[in-house]
Amino acid sequence: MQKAKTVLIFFLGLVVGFVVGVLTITIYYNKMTPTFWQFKAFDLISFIAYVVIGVYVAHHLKNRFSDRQMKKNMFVSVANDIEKLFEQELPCLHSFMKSNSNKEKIRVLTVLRKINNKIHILEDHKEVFTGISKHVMRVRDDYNRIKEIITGDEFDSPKLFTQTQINDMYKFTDKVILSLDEIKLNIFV
Amino acid sequence: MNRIKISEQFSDTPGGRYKRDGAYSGEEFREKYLKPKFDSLKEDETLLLDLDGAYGYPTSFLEEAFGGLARIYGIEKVLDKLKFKSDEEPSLIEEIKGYIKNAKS
Repeated sequence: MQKAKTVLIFFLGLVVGFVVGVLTITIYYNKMTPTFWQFKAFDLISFIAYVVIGVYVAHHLKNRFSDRQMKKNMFVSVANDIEKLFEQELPCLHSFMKSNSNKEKIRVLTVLRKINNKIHILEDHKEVFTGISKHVMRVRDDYNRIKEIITGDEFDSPKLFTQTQINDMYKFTDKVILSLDEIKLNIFV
Repeated sequence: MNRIKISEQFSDTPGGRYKRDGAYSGEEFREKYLKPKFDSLKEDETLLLDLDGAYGYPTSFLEEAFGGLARIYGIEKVLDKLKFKSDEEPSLIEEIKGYIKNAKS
């Protein structure tokens, strides 16, 4: 489907270039000379130039379209990855907060780093699409809150996490997932 | 080149904020590694903190180590003297700079 779209755009550009070339020459001849079919070298060059411009425009449009489409797909894929990571690792984060056990410390740090790096990818490309930036910023802010709750003052300390902190972790996780869904919806608008 | 690779010279599993919380805390890192190196820097020298190789960095560790240093020496001086390298988690650098900038004495 995607390939068909890009091919269509390419040929559309080609046809537009060709039609513009033919029309321009027609108008020119109708005005300047009655012998329409007597092509001069200059006319031929003009015609070829128009076709070349048409091809160039078509090629440019196709590349631009493909590039944007690739970035959109990448955004959706990264957003899905982050959601999946949260879904898979929530039990581990929950269990760590319940026990504050050293055994799960490495896994918690690794998971948070993976999520952080995925968000960083979104941040790197957020300016390409209008309407996405604010959602990416929300994802970042809410992720920072999650990291702060889990690896803040209770991390590695004998103190246990409170139920409020655990609830907050879930609350901000929900907010991250909501913002990721907004990104996925808005990117194709 | 003045450089500290945290994962090799200190720990690849940094801990919490204070020494009383357990091993490899931010306070311990600041007192044993960061502050002595920082004190020995000449006027035109900088200190490179290599963050790669660790499993990850807890907020409390980073705030206590780098925010704590800024509370001792001042925000401007610490930002000026410390350089960071983090190929594995690039956004860590901005996070640490945030702790330094927001350090309150």
